[in-house]
Amino acid sequence: MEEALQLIANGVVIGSVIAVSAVGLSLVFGVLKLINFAHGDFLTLGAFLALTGVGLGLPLYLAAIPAIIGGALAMGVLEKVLWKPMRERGASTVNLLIISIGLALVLRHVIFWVFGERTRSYMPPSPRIDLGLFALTPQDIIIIFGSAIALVGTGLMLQKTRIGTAMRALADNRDLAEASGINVNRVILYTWLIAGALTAYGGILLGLQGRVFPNMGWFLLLLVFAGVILGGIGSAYGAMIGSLLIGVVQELATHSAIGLPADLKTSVAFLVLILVLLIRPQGILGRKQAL
Amino acid sequence: MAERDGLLLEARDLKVGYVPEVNIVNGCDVELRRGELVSIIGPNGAGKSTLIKGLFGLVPVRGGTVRFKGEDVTNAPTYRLVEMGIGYVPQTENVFPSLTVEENLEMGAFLNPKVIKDRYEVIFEWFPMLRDRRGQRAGTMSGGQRQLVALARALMLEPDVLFLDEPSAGLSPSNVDLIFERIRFINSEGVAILMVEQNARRALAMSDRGYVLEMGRNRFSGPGRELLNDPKVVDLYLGGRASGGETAG
Repeated sequence: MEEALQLIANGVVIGSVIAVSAVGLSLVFGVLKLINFAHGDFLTLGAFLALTGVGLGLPLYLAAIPAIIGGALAMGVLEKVLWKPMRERGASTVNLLIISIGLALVLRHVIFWVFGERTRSYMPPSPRIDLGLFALTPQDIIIIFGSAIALVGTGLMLQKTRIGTAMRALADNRDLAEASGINVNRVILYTWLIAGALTAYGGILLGLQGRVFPNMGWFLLLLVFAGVILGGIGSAYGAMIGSLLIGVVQELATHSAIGLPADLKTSVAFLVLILVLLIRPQGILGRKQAL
Repeated sequence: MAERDGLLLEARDLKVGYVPEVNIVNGCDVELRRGELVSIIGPNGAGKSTLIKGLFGLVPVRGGTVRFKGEDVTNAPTYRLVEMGIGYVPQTENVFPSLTVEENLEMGAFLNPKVIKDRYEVIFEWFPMLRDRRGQRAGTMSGGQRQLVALARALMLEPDVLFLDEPSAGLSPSNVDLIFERIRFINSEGVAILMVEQNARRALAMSDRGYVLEMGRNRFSGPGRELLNDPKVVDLYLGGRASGGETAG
């Protein structure tokens, strides 16, 4: 039981990182119907921007601010110079998907080129603190609370603000949004800015959980996709739930009673994903169109 | 050029189409004056919906001009037309299903959120049923209720003109009565209405004027009652006098 609780706690930590990352991806998919394969590398970008700040002597919580702004601006600039012109030229979903894969490769290679291959970390590893039922490092606790704040903030933004309602409207029916007088391009730009900020933040949390290296986001991307799909494609709330579930399931798979090697834990998460989708093809909270 | 003789909307020799070099609308003229209710009828494929989409900037206009309040708005972005005072209700998928009634209305006033609270009062007075269902998701409502939400959303910015694309399509007879009654009421409140409608007899009966379209061109036009009693229009588009057919297709 003790082991299971510890594994669940570990799962919540990694699930929290996946959730923050997945919500950004889900926002973009919901509003634009774009599967952004470059999302993982934007996680990496966020982590390295924060690492640069730390290298300049800033504490991580201060270094995170320009990194988050940088992540948001990077996605915002790409909307202006790449995605919007492509939409206006009538690019198909497949075109956009291929472009996002290309963008992922370009971004990763730029990160390799600028920062090198070396694996680094924000700070030396800390010992675990015994919390009674389980033990977590101070970084783990920051990740859980940091993620919860971002997720609640995103939920409030979607439900309580005019731009959030407009994002949900676009996810429902973009043509009707346009016909209602909603400035669709402005809402899309805000979506990229918010997704960029969330992604950079997710990257920083991912770096805090372990190491910072140029492939870190790419390696997490499949789990992020799994979280989004399990929760229901396009549903931001579903992405939160799906991600936490993916994190917990893959950690529990390594329980000694199951005896699965740690190397295989990710495959168990995907097995659960397949089983859930067999029963509920639209995912946990998925509808035909949602945010 | 300023608005003259109450002429709000004026389209001349309009050519509209989706596929390159194929015009669905091929030289139509449309006029709409303040406070008027004007119907566009015609057989299936005549280009009625395409015409209204072209006027509203949803389908590219390839030829001719559209003037609204005296200003050339040919191919203007839709949000600009909404800003200038045009509301539009599409034929299908005309509500945001995952949004509540109130959020749907809020989206209708996206360009000027300051008016939302005041407009809620007017809209809920005009559509009392929506007041009781303001927190309900539009996707869970019946076809007739959704049509009311769509009408209400399009009225949020107090438009001078409402474009309606087949407002009775797919509704039960009792809901058709309800929708037409509300359209007449909205018009009586001073909102000019340009309506594409399959239910040609009812549309012409309630309209000040009508246009009959065929193959993307104006075939007949005139006061609604006159068109309704014009033997040529009746024989060709209203299923003949004796048949009592409701739709002209």
